[in-house]
Amino acid sequence: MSQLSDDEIQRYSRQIVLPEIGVEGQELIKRSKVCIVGIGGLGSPVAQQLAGLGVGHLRLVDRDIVSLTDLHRQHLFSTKDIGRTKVEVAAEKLSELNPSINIEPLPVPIAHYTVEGIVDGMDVIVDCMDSINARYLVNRACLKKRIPYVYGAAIQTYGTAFTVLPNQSACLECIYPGLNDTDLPRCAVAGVEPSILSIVAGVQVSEVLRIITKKRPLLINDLLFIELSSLSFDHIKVKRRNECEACGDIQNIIIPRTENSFEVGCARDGSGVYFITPTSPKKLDLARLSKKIKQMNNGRITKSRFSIAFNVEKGIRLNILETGVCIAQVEFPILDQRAIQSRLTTLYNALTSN
Amino acid sequence: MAIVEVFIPSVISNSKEKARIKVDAKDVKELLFLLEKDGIVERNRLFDDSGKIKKFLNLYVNGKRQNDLEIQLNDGDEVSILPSVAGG
Ligand SMILES: [Zn+2]
Repeated sequence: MSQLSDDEIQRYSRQIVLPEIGVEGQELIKRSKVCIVGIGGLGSPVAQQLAGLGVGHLRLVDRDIVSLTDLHRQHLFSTKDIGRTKVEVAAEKLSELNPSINIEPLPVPIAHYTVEGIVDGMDVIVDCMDSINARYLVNRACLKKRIPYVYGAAIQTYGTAFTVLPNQSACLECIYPGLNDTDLPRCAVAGVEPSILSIVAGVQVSEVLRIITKKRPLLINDLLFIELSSLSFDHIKVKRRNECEACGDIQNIIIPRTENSFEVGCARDGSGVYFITPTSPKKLDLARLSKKIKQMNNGRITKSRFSIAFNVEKGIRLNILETGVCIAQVEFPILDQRAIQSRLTTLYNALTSN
Repeated sequence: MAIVEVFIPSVISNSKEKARIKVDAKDVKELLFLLEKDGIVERNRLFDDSGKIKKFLNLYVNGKRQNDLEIQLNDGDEVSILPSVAGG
């Protein structure tokens, strides 16, 4: 007896008809739990496809808000969504696409105190983030909890994907060891063509589908490198390194502490975006925070499900999430980075202390 | 000397084309020197100001990531030079 309703049989008929999926595969998809970390250029198409496919439980993790500069490639969001948390908007849109699945939006930062909870209980993690430091943490949490991990990344006109089966294959730090975000170009500066994101996202989804339907993923010890300039797909065999800092001692996976609480986001022309991430777990009372903001500032407060936004002054807008993440958007050229950092940090501390 | 198979995507190589070529070199240092000499890849694409292989580049020798100029090469070895990609 099938666990699928008549509605579900009809909704998924165009994929159930595939010999690779069938009714049995669809039931496995329905029972599966998938976590997507990073709901941006890769995460949007990955989330849309997995929701459409009927993945029973989708956990969405992102601490960012929707910006105008996201919309050319992140088609899960609309112009009217600017300023709201990405996970909040994504959860709404995806439940309209497929009301029968569970969606769990988590507006949390990737930090040493969150990352194990983020991956816990999931069948597979899809890494769609834009920070190598955050990616390292998620890779390690997956190694520790022995959860399959599907890596995807893209910039400019090229991209890559591979899959990690903990203790069976090369992990992220076997392949890309010892990097910091400052060593790498970022989309805000280097740019990215939307089509490469769709291609890489499609590859990630096909790996997830293999994993949740109990087939062996293809990109194990196999790094796929894709270039739009020649429209080429090259497979590079990769190997686990015994001396890997992440998986070398698989019984003792170390999750390093994340100390950096102030981070300059995609800054350009001196103006930019700043993130403040708490160094320990926080749960803010948004109603109380809103009162505090009103006392010190008569400006208009915009509330949404997970965050509050207001203008500190003309050109400085703060978004504070209930998880304690603060995103400051500064619209004028900043001559003194230190001064703005100290000012934003003081304001943040005043608003979020008890 | 050793004939090794080299893969370099066009984002690293000079040309609009990716490179899949055979090179006769005894170690990684000589291999990179020859690639540069033959105009396949520019020196400033491979090395930083201190003469080290750029941090975000990865040299895979038979699949093992080793950014080490001293690695000896043998006939039939496969060497790929790829950038780390972390954007999303
Ligand atoms: Zn490893």
